[in-house]
Amino acid sequence: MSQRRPSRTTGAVTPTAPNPAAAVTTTKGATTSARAAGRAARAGEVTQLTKQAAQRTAEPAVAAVLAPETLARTLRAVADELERDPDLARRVAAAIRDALTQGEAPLRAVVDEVAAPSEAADAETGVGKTSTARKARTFKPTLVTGTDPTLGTGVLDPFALRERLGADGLRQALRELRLGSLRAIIREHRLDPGGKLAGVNDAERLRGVILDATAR
Amino acid sequence: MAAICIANNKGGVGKTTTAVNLAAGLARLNQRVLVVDVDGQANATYALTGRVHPVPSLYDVLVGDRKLETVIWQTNEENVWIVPGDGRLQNADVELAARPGREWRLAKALHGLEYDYIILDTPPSLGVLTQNALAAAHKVLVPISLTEFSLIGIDKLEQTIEELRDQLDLMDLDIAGVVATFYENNTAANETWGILEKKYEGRLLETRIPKNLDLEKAHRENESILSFAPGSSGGQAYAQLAKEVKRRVPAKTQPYDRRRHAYSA
Repeated sequence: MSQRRPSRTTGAVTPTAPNPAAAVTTTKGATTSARAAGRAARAGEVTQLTKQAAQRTAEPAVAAVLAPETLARTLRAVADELERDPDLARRVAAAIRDALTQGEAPLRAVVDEVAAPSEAADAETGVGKTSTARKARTFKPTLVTGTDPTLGTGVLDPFALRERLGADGLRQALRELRLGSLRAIIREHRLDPGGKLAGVNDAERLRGVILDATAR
Repeated sequence: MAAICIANNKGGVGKTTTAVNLAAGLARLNQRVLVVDVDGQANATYALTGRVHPVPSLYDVLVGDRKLETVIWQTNEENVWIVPGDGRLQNADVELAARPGREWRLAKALHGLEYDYIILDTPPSLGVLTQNALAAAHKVLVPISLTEFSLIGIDKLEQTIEELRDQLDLMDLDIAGVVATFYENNTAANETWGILEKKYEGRLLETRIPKNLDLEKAHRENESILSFAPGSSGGQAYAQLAKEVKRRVPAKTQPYDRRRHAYSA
């Protein structure tokens, strides 16, 4: 089993497993043995260390600083300890739950990052080569309602819309538009004479250009 | 002017994707292109404008008496316009069934328009709407997906074209090309390609449209693949297809005029 396989379970313990490891390794270094990691966990340090890990937001993901086999060994050792000691598992789970529910974003970021394998790492390990389903998703399907028909037909005129709806109304209208419609507005109203936005696929940036142009 | 009907009675073969991206490809070859969304699902309309089932639409032209010129919209693609479709077109087959000259209503409505190309996107059926599109077209382009079921039922379209040709006196209506879509370089796809090559000798286009996720993403972003990801495999293929189609079906200089003598039918 790869150490980078994202957990799809909803239990409290499973998703926390990587984090004690993160705490241990960042304290004792990448060479910490699996046995030592287990002892540290048994000693009750895990709870405290997990919270410390949550504060280390500037550090790269755990997976990026450990050799894959070291990380795997460490995680297995910690998982063994958690299975052997229900009390320890409960305390670790409680600490993680508290951190998440209290809005400790850094810890959530660590959990998410460990749970979602990077494409680079996948390429390196061969994991995910046959499926794109496990890649980080940037698109979430929503009900498609299309552009508000009251805004007009064809390519929209942002200047007229600003006049009619005000700046906030225009901003709201632009929020509903996808890349193609935004690009068309910029093209038709010559808002990018230098052609700098030709290959830009960042909708938010295009919205900003339109809003700036209509504010002048 | 040349009117090309994108048709295949099978669904999910890439008709709308081909209509939208071929239009954009031709526009990039300095051609003025009008897309007519004859499909009640109106996916081409959404892909090119971001609008979902707009009203008025082609329905008001075919079933009502609205002038087609009043429902031509500029799209998100430069040099591409559209006559949008909407959900009401799904009932149009029934509503037009008893009308005299029902197959000619679209050709009549398009009369006199001045574009280099008209691309007609059709529903996956051979009903009155598709017959209107075929009657309005000079040539037919058939997308065929190189997948398991692609070879089942493709004869039906040819049969319909032949029947229409006889029935409506459309002597030049013909399949200008068959374009392979959803191409993947594997044994099954290549064997299917080989079968099509024999069946459509000389009419199977050289360009193969690959299976490419960017094509779907481009629809989602309401633009063609040539705007969204021109360097993708799908983008390069559609750019190539546009050149091939332009070569095979050159646009004539006169305005749209399709079988004027038949309008009184």
